[in-house]
Amino acid sequence: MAMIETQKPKMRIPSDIKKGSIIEIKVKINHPMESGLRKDRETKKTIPKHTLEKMLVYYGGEQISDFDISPGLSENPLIGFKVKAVKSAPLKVSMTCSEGNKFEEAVDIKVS
Amino acid sequence: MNSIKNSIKEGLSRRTFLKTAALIGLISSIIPDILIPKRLLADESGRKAVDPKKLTPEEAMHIPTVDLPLIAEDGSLVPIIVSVNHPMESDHYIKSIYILDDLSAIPSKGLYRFTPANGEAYISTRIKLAESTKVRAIAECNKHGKWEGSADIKVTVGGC
Repeated sequence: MAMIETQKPKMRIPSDIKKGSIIEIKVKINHPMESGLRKDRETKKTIPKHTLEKMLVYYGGEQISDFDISPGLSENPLIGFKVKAVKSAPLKVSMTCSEGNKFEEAVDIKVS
Repeated sequence: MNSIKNSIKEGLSRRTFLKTAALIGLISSIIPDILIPKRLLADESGRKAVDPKKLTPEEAMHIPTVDLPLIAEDGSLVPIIVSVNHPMESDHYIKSIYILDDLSAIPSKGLYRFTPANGEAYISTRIKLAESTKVRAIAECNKHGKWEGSADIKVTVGGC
């Protein structure tokens, strides 16, 4: 299996946001989400665990969501959640991996 | 002749009984650690709809909707959306959604905690499924406890 290189998460928000509306945010990250239970078919060796464990969402500096994610999610997770756009402020996601790596990305939410 | 036969039978059955009992004891002392973890999360549950076709107002407000395709060709990438049609007010909201599949090697498909700032308890993601199963979602309301919804799915090729 080819190694997947983990990069910064990518975030997508709707282009036109009205104040007070509920918008969907999509977060995509390249990550193997390896459970540590699978074996390599050729070498018969267990593939070591390497997965994302936590995803936190901050809106205007305040934590609004806390997700415990597991290798039960597919490789290269795509996670969508909702936010009530009450103010123009940055929305930040922060993900932590089983190897201690931290991946962060932020977008500016501009309400009209 | 009959009495001899009977005594042999009794002896045998007693011996078999003792052997079996000893064996069961031995097995149960060794095996649970190996067998149980896979189904452990089945303990986690919530209130289900009494009549799924006719929800009471309280049920309609709390039971999570699990959106899954009917058939998944590839079990390693199954799109799922779970949402709860519940207001997200500062003193009354959905605290979390827990997605799980009892038949997967890793039953937890994530525990998603929300706050009223989310506006809606909604999560869309992609999960791995090993076989045809019933995917469950448990929503927890800060006032009314845990509620459970589920959806069945057929999996052609497992992906765990």
